[in-house]
Amino acid sequence: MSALKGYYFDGHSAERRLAQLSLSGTEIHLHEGEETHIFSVTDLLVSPRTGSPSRFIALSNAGQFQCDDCMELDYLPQQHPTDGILAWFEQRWNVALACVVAIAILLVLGHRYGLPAAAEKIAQRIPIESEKNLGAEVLSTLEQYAWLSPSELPEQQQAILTRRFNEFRSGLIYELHLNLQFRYTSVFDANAFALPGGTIVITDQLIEMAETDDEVLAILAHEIGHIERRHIMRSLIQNSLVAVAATAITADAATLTAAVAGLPLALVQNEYSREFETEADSFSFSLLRQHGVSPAAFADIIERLQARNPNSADASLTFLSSHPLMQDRIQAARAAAMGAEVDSAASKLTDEQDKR
Amino acid sequence: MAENPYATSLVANISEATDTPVSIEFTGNTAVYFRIWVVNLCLTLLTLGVFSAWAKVRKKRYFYASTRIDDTPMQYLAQPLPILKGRMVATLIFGIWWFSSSFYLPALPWVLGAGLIVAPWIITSSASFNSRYSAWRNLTLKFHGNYLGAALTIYWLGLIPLLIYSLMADPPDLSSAETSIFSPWILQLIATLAFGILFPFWLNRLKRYIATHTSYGGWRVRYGARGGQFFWVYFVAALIVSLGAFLTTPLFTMMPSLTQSSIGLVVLSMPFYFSYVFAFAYVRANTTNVVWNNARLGPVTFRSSLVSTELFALYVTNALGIIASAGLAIPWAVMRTMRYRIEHLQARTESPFAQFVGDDRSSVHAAAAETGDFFDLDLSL
Repeated sequence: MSALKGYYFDGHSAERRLAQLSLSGTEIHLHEGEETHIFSVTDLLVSPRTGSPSRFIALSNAGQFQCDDCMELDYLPQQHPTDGILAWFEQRWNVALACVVAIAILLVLGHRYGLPAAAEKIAQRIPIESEKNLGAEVLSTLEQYAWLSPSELPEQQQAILTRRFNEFRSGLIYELHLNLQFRYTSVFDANAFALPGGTIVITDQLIEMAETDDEVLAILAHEIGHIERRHIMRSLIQNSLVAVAATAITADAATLTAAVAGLPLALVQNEYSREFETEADSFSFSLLRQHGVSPAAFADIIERLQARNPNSADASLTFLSSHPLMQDRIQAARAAAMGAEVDSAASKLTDEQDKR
Repeated sequence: MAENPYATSLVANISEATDTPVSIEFTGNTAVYFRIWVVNLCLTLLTLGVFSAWAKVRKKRYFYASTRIDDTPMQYLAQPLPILKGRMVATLIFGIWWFSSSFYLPALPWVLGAGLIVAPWIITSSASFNSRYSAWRNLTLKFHGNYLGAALTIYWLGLIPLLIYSLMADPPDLSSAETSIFSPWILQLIATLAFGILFPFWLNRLKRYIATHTSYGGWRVRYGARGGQFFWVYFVAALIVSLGAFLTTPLFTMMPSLTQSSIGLVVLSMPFYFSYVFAFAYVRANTTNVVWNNARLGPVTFRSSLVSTELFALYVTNALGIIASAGLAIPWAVMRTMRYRIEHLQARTESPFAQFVGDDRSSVHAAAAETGDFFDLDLSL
């Protein structure tokens, strides 16, 4: 090793002194002014390569030598040996390129499969009872501010719908948690929603708008789907995990990107929300068919809802919306209804064959 | 500090002091940092976040090494394991808070109470971790604060309970027609206003506590910024945001057709959004300037000259670059922001750096040996 030119810091003051380091045998000689310090090679610790031109050598007298980075330093004892491998990776463009590709693949896979699967697994382990508190709180808050008030529907109509709802829920996983509440609303218009814990609220306006009880049941089956599939818990977990991942990725530019990261975050969260809606729709179609109701009822009520609020259809901006396109949902319901007709025709055929 | 010979002669020397500039430069390179960032991010994702502690060390080492004061780079000495430990504790705390705030609201007051008790400890332990592992010329910084001091600082005037009270504000009860002066929401409005006015003073106190309890080479930082200076910075920022809101509101009534679509809403909110970013840049630039321009470390004085319009332009171009590159420009944004901040910081010294003297425990060598303590963990983000 040729002599390394650099600076010496004695650890007692912030003064910088010109110095030279040279190796002779197993000894290191540090020449600093008139003085020469002698150390054993094994007592040295070289600071890791950082991507900047300087490195430091910690000496056993608590002093420090600073010099330009060079290959020779790699043969001396290292302070953090594993950092050498990292530094090697960090210096190469082909590694960086491979990392960009790997990150893209990891993000796509994690967002498509990893996160939803993880959220589902975690949600299964959290009992639905833990949501009850929150659901009750939400309902009482909505009532407190008079956004919801007691239903004005005739008792008899409520009883009929409740009986059919109970038929629908029987045999489901969360049968005992599912319960139906009728409310009049001054804010939400024709609407129905599933609350954490299994309560489903339907507004008088929606029931009045429906032409048949089957249409009301179609909507209720969709809400039952949200409960059965644990969509509330899953979306809570999924959205939290997305937020944590986004924070981790943008961490060093936190102040720079907080405002920028909000939009893609909202897009991803809305995408998950649309997937849950689609899942609840298809759950609803199969539950309806199980009880001899055509999914066409779902298409009918959604069409009527759309006619009532024409603004909610904004075909060019699907990716910004929390709900799938009304058109797509209606089409899916009609397709399911067609399938149901084919099924029932086929079963009639087999029934008749059985009779023969 | 009395044993420092320079301290006693400071007043006498000040008139004849030769005030020489100290160079502070930033040598960070976007291409180099891009590779560091991408390799460490990839490993962090592959290990589901565990590697983030190593990644933090790698990145901070590069930031420190790229900051050269009087031609000597700074050094970041922390080890990944205490950082990993700190992150595990932080994850646990976050998990408890997340669970209680989403499902178990009755427990939330207890969680918040526990948070109030540990907050001073989090502040002191992260300040002392950062100081202990920051070195220049073989001397580390040191933090002298303690739990009691930090608690007295952050709970000054009961400001935090005030904040919690104003955050717990319920919206006005529309069902009751009568509104009295003492109705809860008016009290909460007053609490929110009081918090808004006192916050800049509180922030200045916290910054002063941390700065004046930090030392380097036998010198404590002297901190001269006053709460009033902070107040005016935040006051102007509030005016900027109000102006943005004032200009944005009529747009909604002038162009009702745009309010029908989400994109239209985004377009209409642009003036408000820009006023918010500008207010943010204004606060950043001016509080940084106030703090540095009134701080002093022994013979060294500082001059920070950040300009809010320049910082605003930097933020906007950073955001555009990051969006256009799907995030790949993050390292570029980080490097140019750091460069801007460091290039606008000047220092002058009245005496040579030999005036900075360390004790037995301030050399880099000592800092490296000090790991292994359970409470040696990093809770800063």
